[in-house]
Amino acid sequence: MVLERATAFRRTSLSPGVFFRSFDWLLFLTALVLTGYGMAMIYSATHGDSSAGDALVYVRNQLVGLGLGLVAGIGLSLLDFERLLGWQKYIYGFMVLLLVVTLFIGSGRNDAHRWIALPFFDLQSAELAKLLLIVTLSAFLAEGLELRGRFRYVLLAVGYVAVPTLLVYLEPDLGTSLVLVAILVATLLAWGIRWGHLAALAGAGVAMMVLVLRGLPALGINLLKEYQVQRLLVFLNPERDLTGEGYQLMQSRIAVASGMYTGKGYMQGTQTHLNFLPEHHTDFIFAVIGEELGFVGAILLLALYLLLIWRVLRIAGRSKSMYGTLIGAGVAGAIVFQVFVNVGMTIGIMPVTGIPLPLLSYGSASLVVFWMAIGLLESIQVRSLAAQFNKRIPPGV
Amino acid sequence: MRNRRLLITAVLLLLCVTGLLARAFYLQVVLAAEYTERAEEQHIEVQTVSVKRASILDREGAELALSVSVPSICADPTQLEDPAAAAAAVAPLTGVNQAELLELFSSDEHFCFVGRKVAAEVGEKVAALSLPGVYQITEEKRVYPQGPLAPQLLGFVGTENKGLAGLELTYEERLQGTEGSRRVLVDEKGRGLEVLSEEAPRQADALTLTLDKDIQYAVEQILAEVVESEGAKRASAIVMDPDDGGILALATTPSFDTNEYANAPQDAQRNVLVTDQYEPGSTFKVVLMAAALENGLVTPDSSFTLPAELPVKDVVIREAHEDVPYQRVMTTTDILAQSSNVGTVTIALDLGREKLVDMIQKFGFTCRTGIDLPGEVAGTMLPLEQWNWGTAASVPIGQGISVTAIQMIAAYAAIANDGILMQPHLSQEARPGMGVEVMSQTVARQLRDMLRKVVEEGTGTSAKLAGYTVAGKTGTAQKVEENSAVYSQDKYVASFVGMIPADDPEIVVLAIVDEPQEAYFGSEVAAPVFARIADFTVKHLGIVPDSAD
Repeated sequence: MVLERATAFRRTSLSPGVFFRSFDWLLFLTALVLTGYGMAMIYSATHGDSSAGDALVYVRNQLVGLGLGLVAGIGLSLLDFERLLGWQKYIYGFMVLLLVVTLFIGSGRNDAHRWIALPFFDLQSAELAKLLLIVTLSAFLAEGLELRGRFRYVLLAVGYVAVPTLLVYLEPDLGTSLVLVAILVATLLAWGIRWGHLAALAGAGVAMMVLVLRGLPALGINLLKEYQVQRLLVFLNPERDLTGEGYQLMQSRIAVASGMYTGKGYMQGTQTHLNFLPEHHTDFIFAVIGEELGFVGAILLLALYLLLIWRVLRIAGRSKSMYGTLIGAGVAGAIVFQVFVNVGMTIGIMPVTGIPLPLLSYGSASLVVFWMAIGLLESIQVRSLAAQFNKRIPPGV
Repeated sequence: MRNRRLLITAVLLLLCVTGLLARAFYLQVVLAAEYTERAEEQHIEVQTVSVKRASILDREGAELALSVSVPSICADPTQLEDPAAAAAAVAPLTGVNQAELLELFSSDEHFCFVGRKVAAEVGEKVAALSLPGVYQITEEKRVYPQGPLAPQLLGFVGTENKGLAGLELTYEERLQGTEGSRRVLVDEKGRGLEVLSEEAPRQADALTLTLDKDIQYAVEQILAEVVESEGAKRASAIVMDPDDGGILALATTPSFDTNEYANAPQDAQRNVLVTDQYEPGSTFKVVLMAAALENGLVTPDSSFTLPAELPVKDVVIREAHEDVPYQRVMTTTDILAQSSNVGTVTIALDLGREKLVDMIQKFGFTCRTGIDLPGEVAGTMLPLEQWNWGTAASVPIGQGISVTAIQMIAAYAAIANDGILMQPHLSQEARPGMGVEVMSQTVARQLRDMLRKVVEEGTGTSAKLAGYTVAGKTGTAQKVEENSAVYSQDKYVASFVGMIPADDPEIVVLAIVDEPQEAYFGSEVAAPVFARIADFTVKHLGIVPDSAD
């Protein structure tokens, strides 16, 4: 039955005029402004890095990422997203295979297996997995729309997400695996999961956390790596370790707080430029904004994210297809989670997890994936509106 | 249903963003000042800019002490590639023990001194080795270009350039100057990038002394010769300008090179002229004379019929010479000129203890003069209520009382300065004000005339100086044996203190010879020393001769 509805939708014709008129330009522009904001801050943070040699090297890499993202995103926006419904199993299979392969042949810092080195770029599997999971999980849930009252199906969905989550966690990349969980929660919510089921899942989640953090270590089983436990402890008390994780947290707090209302000025951040702030162009890019542009810069950034999420949720809400709604929810969930955790970490209300700020942080993999998500959402938007146009204007006129 | 879920999501979302903003506001607005301070602590380093210690100059501007920049050799043992080879290479150049150096180089410290304040050539040789981990810094070294001139007076500074003795200690703060400070922008590795602001160091002005290096040098030469020829333990002298208390020379031998102060024997480091007391003997008689004249008890011409010996209760006062007639008539002037103990004590008993003690105090023998040298002591005198007849009979002739040499010359300078006692001082900045009136101008003049007779026809004839009138007094005192209360039979302090020209003195000189071997009378040993010092000084200062002789 779902399939039928989807097939009907797919057959709607799409002229260039309709495409342009129904395209969500505000979403596109917001994403573009965020990317530009990010590049401006990356330039500020890195132009003085002596190791880079070339002041523009980071910005150029980021521009390449944007280019790739735009191409892939526009491509996806032209694609009828409902076709992905039929490819669900292949996409899921590809995702799992990719993650498994990454575990074996992937490389990364400190014995991690996070990316596959390809001739032109490094494929960061976990970043791609976020989008692939959104696409496939949404399809899985859309197919089981009628079964959402059954807890068994909910558990199936949990299992569906657990496989890639575990694989990402093993890389190890705790941050991204948490993003996958966030995608699950957001999608389940939009799907219409029963509150009771959700509460049961939440209870089970809490129980598992207690087990992993307290119960199993007591039995000598440590699922969390030593440094991950350390991060949590340090988060609770940054003064605990002022050389490692605590140092990062403290430095980012100092950078942000010393920015005051309006900041020290673009490219004037002392903590950033004198290297007191570590990872300033990647995970701690928000600290650079906080330091150089102050509270005003922070408000501006969060306002842009609100705008972005509003457009994403709007598309999700207006989609005539449950599949589109779920994709939108998944994307919104990932963005909200990443923004909250990343900014929260920077200003000291979240532990260090190493999650990039969507569209802002340096790193072309994350950038390309988010632009692909934007493209996918445009596809949903365009097709929702096109359906309306087609209803209003009878064929043949 | 779907829209209600989305609404809930939107509300949750707003809550999240509000939370983030609230936290950002708390940090960037509420805690901003505190964190800005922490940020500045990290990226602004406040460095001190060292300042050179001010020079010390003599009255003509000759440098007695100055600071120069010299290399110090340091090492970061953790940076050394081969500690053993480095130690073997550096040790012979710096004169450090190779085994000790190797131990130092094998430690895991990040900093150590190999040799501090070494000669420039040593620095160059070590630099030529270009050993990674061995480097140099510039430090300030105190140098005394006059070498062995006035070491006890100038003192010395420690490795950190803090004054530890002598004028270097007295004027420590004055010479230090004000360190500058510099706010430097530093990066995370501590590398300085940019000087944000700098407060320049302010070097103190050079300290100019009243000391005359030529007179000081001559005095030291003369004293060294006297120590040699008399086989004395020590000889010292002071040359002072009576008008303001400025000291032209203040010397003690044996002496040593000021640059080697820390290695000199402790005994030689002491500035005995201010830190040690001695029983002055006859030079002290002038105090009794001043009191008697000031109180109108005697005039210079009052005459006394004196026995050969004067029993005072259980003590008997005798003259220093044995061929004394059974009875003789002497004027007050004669008593001083011949240094008659019997005459002096006769007048003293007549005057009474209170008036004597009052004059002793007026001359300042019971308290420090306040000279700008560290370690000064006051004299020692029994409190009046503890005096017995023995005290009353011995203090007038300078026994049973201890004074410092600087007190003694200050007292004679008061006589030279028409009765006004000036504070002795070495720095021109310590020029005292009005001074204290010890006696009337008339009494001071009478005393000078009497003292002139001492040199012309009394015990001080060896102090005569061709072309100048001289007024002065000899002194010979037995020393008290160490660790006992008994006067020694062979240890004497011979002294002479006098002024030139006698009428209106321009210089006062005190010469003390401690424990001469053969002759021990002040008239024999100290008076000639006075004459030699005075001779050089009057010529050097160009004092106009006032006598045809």
